[in-house]
Amino acid sequence: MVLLVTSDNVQFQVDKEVVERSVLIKNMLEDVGESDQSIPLANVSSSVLKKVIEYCEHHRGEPLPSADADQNQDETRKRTTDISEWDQKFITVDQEMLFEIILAANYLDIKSLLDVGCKTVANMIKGKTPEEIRRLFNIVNDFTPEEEAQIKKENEWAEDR
Amino acid sequence: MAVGFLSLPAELICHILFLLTPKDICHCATTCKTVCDAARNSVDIQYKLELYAQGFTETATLDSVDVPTKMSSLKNLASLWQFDFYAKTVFEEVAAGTDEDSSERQYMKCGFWWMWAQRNLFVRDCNASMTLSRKWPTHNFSAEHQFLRSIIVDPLQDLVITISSQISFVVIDAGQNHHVFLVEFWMALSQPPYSDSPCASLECKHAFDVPDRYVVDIVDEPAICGDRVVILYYIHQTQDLFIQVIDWKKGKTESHPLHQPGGREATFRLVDRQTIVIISGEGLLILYTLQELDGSPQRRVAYLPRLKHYSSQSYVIRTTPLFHSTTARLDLMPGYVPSLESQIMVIEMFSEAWPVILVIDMVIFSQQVIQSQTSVEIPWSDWGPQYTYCFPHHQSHLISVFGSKMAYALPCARTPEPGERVEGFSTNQDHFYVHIWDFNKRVIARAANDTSSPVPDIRKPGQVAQSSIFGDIISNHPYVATVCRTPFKMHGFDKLFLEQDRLTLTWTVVPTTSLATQYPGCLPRADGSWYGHRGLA
Repeated sequence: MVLLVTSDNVQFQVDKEVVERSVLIKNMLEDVGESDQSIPLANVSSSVLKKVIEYCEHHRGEPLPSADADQNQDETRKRTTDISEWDQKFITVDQEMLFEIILAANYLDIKSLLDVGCKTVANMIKGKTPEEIRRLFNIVNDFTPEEEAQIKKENEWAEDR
Repeated sequence: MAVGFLSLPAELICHILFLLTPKDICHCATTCKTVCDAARNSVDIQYKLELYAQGFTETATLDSVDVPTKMSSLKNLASLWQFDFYAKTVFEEVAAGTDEDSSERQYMKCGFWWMWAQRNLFVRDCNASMTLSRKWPTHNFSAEHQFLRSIIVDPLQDLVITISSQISFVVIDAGQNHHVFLVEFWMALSQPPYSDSPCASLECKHAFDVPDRYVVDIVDEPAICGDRVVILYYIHQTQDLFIQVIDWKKGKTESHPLHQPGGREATFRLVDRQTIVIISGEGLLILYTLQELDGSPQRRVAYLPRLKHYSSQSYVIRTTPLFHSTTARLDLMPGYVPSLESQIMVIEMFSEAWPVILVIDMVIFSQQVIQSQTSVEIPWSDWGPQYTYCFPHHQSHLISVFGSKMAYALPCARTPEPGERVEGFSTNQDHFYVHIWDFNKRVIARAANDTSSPVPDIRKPGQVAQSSIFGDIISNHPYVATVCRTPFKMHGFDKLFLEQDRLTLTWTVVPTTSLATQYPGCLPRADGSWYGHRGLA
């Protein structure tokens, strides 16, 4: 068992096998060796870590993407935005939690979870107009009207024609 | 502030953008400065957009190349034909033994040029440097091929295919299979000495319905795409069209009727492994798909024409060579190949009076269009104005197509005015010019909106009056027109081949054929040397 401490000071006792889906923690454990010391995760809150552990529990035992296969897997990873049924259900959370999970997965270096998060965001963007995307993510348009006209013109070629 | 999309670091924003289509990426980039900058600063995303803009698909050749290198090669390709240029001849060679007919039987793919004349196959690898042997590799297909009908070559698979057959068949036992073609496969064409026996051969069978004496003829040249070879043929007596679908690796071949009359006037092109386009006698453009298992063809879409019907009308289809294949010669595979939806198909339509060319946007043949399970007919008004360009034409003006570009040999150095009919080459003209027209809509839209670089010459075809099409055609889509300022000599000129980064011209003065590969470049200096700012070595 490994003891994790979140940013809001909550302790989590997690199976080593489960927690080692995080490359960050795996490397830490390898560096430290056998020890009972807790691992502080200053960038992850307890509510987010709970979700991350849920994900790692579900996928425990699955092979981690190896360094060798990186090239190939990268390709399939980039080309498809399909998400498995369980993952889809898992990631059906509010936007704030979604981005928290993505940030945590990035920090903890859990590739497959990062992919699920990014694919979900990509699927939300698909087929939307710039204005719809702004509304979706509460993005403030910080271009001057001239800049916006210029940017629109520059990107216009990619429209279906 | 709550955590949201913009809380993500630029690298994660790019990771997400990379999962999107180019159109969605551009939509995101116009939302705010943060996303716009993230996209601009990511070479991966810029490369993805550039590939899409130029209509290319990357091949396995580039797997080990880093993105910045790929990006600069791609930019080089884009600038190659964009403005008027001068040609730089790389080498010139001579093949002996050409007869009148064989100058027609010249082909080019991946830098390999080949011609067959009097049972000899002449091959030249234009990728090789000029210092290499000037001796032509020839292959003589000997006496057992007295009924040789066709030779097709696929340099990518290092494969030569010969098709032989008797001219006529006397059929007593109707319904029984008769051997109509013998197809033989010869390997290792590129490495002499050539093997003198085929590595495989197949007998193509056909069952005739009624006892009679039949004459069988092949339509155009058979087509090859990877392990699949397609032979379109017809029976003189009935004009019925048939197709032989061959899987040469599995040694299987199957004949299917197309239920399509008009064999003599038909012409066809294999669009990819599963799709063939046939122009029937009456000018219908018909798309068939071939099934995966037994290859039986299914009629899917008929594009209805608006052609006046002349008795002597004929069609010639020009397209890009097929690059899909199980590659034996990886070194020949270009790093980028034009993707289907960014290619054009050019149809030369010859009638007694007013020949025209129809430039068709091949997006109409892409997967989304042929989803319907039953055959549909699309009237001209639904596809013609939107997906075609029409230009006046003359049969002496030769055409070659590569991707979204067309090379056009015209007797003048200027781009014809909209709708202008340029007269054919006359005997007192010593020279001609090669024009390159690019129909890639994304490149054109981008060039038109790009204020940082000079805009290429963007034209519109305008109105084509008095053509072989009913009524006037006005196509308003723009294309980019450039011309090679180097004149070429007219005497004996017989073929031109456009490829990604080069142009190959051939001249035949019986009995010799000469060949010159041209690279686009800039003006020669007074001392004869070249200064190319476009990175030509």
